[in-house]
Amino acid sequence: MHSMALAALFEVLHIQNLFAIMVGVVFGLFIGSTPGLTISLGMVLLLPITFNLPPVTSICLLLGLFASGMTGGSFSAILLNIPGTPSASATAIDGHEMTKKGIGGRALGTAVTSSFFGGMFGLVCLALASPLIAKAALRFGAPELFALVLLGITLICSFGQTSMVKALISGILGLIIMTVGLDPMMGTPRFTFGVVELQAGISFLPAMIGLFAIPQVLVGIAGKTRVIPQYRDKISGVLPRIRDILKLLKPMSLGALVGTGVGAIPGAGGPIAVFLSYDYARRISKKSLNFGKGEPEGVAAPEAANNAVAGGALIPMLTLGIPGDPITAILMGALMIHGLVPGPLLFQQTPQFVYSVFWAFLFANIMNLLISLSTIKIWVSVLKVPEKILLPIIATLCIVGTYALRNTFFDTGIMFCFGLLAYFMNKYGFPVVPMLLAIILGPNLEKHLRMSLIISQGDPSIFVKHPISLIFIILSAISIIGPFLAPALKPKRRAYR
Amino acid sequence: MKSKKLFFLVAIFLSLTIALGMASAADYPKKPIKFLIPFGAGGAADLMGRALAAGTKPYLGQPIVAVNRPGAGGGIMYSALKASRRDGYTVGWNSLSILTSTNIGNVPFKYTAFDHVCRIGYTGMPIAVRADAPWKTFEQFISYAKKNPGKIKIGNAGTGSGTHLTAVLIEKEFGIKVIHVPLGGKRRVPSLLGGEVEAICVPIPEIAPQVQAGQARIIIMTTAKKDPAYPNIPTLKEMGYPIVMELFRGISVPKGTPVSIINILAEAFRKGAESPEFQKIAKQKGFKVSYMGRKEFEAYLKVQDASIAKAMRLGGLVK
Repeated sequence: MHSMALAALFEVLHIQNLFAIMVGVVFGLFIGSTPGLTISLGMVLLLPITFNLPPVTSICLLLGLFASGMTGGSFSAILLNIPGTPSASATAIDGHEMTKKGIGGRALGTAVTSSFFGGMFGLVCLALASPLIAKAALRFGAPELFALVLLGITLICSFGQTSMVKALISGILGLIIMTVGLDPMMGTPRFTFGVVELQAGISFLPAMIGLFAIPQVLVGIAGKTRVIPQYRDKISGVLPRIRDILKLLKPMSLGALVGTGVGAIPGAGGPIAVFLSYDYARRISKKSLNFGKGEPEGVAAPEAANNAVAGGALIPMLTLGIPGDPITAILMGALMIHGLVPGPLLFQQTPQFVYSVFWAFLFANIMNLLISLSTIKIWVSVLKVPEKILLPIIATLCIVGTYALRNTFFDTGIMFCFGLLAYFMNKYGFPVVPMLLAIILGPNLEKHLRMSLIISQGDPSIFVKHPISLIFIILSAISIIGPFLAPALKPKRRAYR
Repeated sequence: MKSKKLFFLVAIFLSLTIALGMASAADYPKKPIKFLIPFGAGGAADLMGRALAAGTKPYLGQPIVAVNRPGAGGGIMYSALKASRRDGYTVGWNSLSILTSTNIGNVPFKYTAFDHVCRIGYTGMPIAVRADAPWKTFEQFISYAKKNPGKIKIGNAGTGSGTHLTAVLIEKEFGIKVIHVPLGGKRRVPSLLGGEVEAICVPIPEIAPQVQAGQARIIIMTTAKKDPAYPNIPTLKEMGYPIVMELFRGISVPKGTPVSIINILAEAFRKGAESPEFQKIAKQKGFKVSYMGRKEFEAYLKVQDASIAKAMRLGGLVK
């Protein structure tokens, strides 16, 4: 067993494989940081190359991209407030605030280190507890998934500090928008007004890009205020100090735990993991009031989560042969091209290859850490570019990105609609994050609700009879009632002081 | 005088158009060809389509550019294909979805709105159960379902999809009552293994790893021919039931594309399907390469369309 792990290590350490990881990481950082270019698209582009590579080299290349794509997404989120991937949207909240304060370099450093931490945590779980986690993940059926997504949706309440009513309006508007398209259960068109294009529904990537990026560009055009934070000459704290990392251990661990768990559940998805970990990090934090105002903990938790999702998603793919998302589906396809069929037999028939996957994922994370940290200064220098040049570039990227998603300008139009909406929402103090949350989670909420009811034949008690589902429903209830109880509890605390 | 000039201009214009039209057939293709894929990046349709495009390129001498147009169960891509020019520079990578998306009535046309170039092959969509399920054969499964109406849940890729309609045809043919659960692509295998549904109708490549690992069993095939990889599993057709459902894939172009161009395309894609690029991925995706020419494919589509339409009526999806 040990000799096999060692042999696998030497195989991955082969110069060709290390080079493949490096290429994957650099490509992933580029793909991840560009809004509209998804990690799965990057994988599809790399896939034909892997046909002619040895299996270990192929997996090195693809895992490099997987690991760094998640990190790259946070770069544009932190510096420009435009999440490169949906999983980076929670990072934008505090990350961009840090940039505004002039500590964008530190935010990036925190993101990269947390990513590394999350990735490593996911890897350890993958290597040590795969069969166990996979078994537990299979217990997540439709009612469990519904309850999990419900918990995610209740986080809307957490973004209502200034006005709960406005947060709810924003969230519910998002939920309503997501009913456009084909009915997920019956396949019949809803609210499409005869437009075939709308049958595909409102894709959340154009919505996300529109909500975050377009208002910035619009305000920038108006020219009264600077929207891209000023570049400060002194970039301090890029390399995070050990002391700082230790302080962030709690939110990072929380993020890593949530990320691995949610990642392992087929069909749950990364965005829910990052929002859950962001919210719970805030709840357990001593500095919870700083969240949303540029708190490093608010970057650490979701960043650890989205890289842990990668490790988590590999668990059901490797152990059960079930890909939980498009990314792992492509990874699995790449393995099958080489005659390696993921699943229980993979561990019995080609254990050395499984070890190679673990090592490759380890080195992908290390390489990601090294390359990302050493290029932070280059990334931050984006802020040096004058606004009049940078804003058109951002607008162009948004247009190209939304077009590239499905090769249609229809999505670009959708993005501009959301952009305009977000501009006025910002102006009148409606938070946009609840809408984004609703748009990302809404379709799953409906789908799993109705699926559960089909399975139970209309009996709603299915949600409380399943223990896992019951737990999440109770947590959701706490999430909803919490903000109302908090003001009632606070004065008492003050009285003690 | 004026009208004479106008007439002259029109005559020149017309002759130019005709000359250009003829030229397009003679030296086709002279620019890159758009290859529309009805589903998103990374899925089986996408990966196979891209491999076919790459494998066919040498035989057309022009790049074949894969363009994803996902959404509405393929309806978005077929609408786009129908609206494109009839010059052979836009081709569609079709699938069973060309029949399902048109029959369910979400787009205002039928599969006959296209000219069909060729079929490349098909994937089987068997019914699978968990390995520890009490039913060893399809007959046992049916007789249990008969005795317990409404107890069996069969998962599918979505209402109106090929996997759903296959289950509907079986349900009506055998007079059983089952619950159809539109689990979708990501959730169907986990749901089966997790015990949420008793059976699923699923494309072979998705369930093959589970069968090999002893986690699931295929109890019946729904293709016309037996799958050599599963010699012990009967097909519904050989058991004497008139149900054949295959997840076929092929090439379509807008209606009215010149036949000479269709023939060039058909020949190129036939060779492309034999290319190592495509063969590799076809093998991995459990896809049987089985080429059909234009006429044969049209006849095949007619039969498949009738059976899809019947299943939709039986399933109450259309009136």
